[in-house]
Amino acid sequence: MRIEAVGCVAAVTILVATACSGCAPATGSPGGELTKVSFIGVQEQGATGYAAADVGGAFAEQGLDFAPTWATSGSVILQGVVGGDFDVGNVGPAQLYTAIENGVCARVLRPTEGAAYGLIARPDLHLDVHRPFPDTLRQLKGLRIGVAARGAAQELVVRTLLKEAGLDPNTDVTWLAVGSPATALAAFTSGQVDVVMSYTQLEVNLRAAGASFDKVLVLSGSDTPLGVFWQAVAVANCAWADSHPDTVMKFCHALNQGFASLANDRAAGPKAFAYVNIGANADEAASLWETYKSPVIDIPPLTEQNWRYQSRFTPNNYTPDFSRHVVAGCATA
Amino acid sequence: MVSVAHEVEAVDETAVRRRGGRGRLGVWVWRLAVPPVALGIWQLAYQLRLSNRALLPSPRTVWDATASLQDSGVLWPNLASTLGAALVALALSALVGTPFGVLLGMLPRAWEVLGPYLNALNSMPRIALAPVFVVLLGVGQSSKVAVGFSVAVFIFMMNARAGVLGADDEHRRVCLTLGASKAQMFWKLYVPGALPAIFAALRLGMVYALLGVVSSEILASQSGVGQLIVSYSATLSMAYVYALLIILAAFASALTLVLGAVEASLLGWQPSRPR
Repeated sequence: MRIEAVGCVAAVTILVATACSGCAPATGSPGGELTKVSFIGVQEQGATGYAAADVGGAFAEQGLDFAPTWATSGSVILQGVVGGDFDVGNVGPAQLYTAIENGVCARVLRPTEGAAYGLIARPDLHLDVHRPFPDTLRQLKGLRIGVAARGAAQELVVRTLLKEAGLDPNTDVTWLAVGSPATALAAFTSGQVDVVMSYTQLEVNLRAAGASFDKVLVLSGSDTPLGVFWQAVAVANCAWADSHPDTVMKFCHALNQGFASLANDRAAGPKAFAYVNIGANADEAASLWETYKSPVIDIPPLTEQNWRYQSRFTPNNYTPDFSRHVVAGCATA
Repeated sequence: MVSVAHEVEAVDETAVRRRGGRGRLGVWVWRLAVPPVALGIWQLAYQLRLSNRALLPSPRTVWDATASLQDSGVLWPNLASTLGAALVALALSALVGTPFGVLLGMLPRAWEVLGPYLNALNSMPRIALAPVFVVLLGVGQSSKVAVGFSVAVFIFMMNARAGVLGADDEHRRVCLTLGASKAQMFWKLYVPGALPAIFAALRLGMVYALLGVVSSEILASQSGVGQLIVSYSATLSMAYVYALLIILAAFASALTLVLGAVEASLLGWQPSRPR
């Protein structure tokens, strides 16, 4: 009887100990277990800041385990973050604002990329690349425009510019989804699309494949028709952000460290580019960094005025409430 | 005595017809009651916040989205593109699948040889072939017709074969005794015998062709409801997505009803018809 009672107490103790092993505090502690932060983004220039923070050990210093998953378009990212499968995602503000307008809850941490787009056309179309904006876009009437995914940030931006050029985006052009940089390259070089919304990774891939293109419109930097445009912002799942404020601020601090290293440490940029597969090797990544670094170095700051400016690229010019949807103090943490 | 028996039969037939009429009316009453009940449950779920409102907007919001789609002029060209492709895919599937299925029913040895391969082909997820069709045929109507066809053709093939196998043995023996040729057997016995199964394939094939076409449009297309659904899904504009799905379902349902009516009028000689 006594032996049975001792056995029973031992069994209960083991059970409690086992159960409590999963009750560790959510925030990581230095030297202890890291707190996992799941991230979803496209493996391209927009993820450079996260890459710099990870490569430089900023996340680990904050007790965070940065766990990235790479997607092919903003639509997948948005669904992943809103659905709660990922804590943080990197997505275009135009797409995010429209989703918020539709009732989605999201918390913006900070902008992660300035304008880095361009519109490139097949050379055999012989479009005049010297025409100024918006006249240059009138040449696109009747052409097929490739975007990563239908309805996502790239399409929303081009739609706005086409409207400013006096074209009807619904009837004057044909839209085609061309997917990731690899499939976009195939669609462009095989002639399935006439014009494609370009970005660093795609242009690098096209050059590597020996494919030529005409740049109809440069949309990189803040002195382009896009102005103080954010190509991507870090956005957190509401439930996660609201229930883990300490982890969020640690994440913000680490991410800001990553961006600071991109600006101040000459070696950080090429390493981060290599992390997101821009450049086949360290030398090439270093060379590409010098050419394409500005969108992740000179990002228009997170101000209420710049926040409102992004609504220009949404279908209904909708601006979500700044104080409700932006995590206060994150951008400067 | 004989006249009394006739009178009793006539009264029975009238009663059955009247009961049948009342039954049909009852079915229609119940059928028409389903949408308001579904709308009520939907509205209740919305009011009680049983799901995230971004994912489950109110019926009113979806109605407004439908009106907006109509006003913006994007609905009809895209719907016409999708339904047009589905109808072409259906027609091609019927033209190819039916004779092939009848032949397979007439030639058991051929089925024994080809059956496993056809079943294997039918079990393949056809949407995986969509990129191949897009590369081969371009991103226009042809590629989505091809996907719709690849799904629906098997329904005609299998149904036509089943229809032939269900042909009356006595009729077959009579035809053989009277020296009917293979062609005569095909046209006079097997095809008419397989007609009910072929009509069933038409109704089912319509749905599957539409599914194939929309799936293909979701992957890559110049126009169509599938492309609109992807565009609106990207910003989680679910009211528009549901509006498009409801419109698509309504049109598919209407087409199926029309096909059912055609079937009932053409095959009225059959003892019992599905409605």
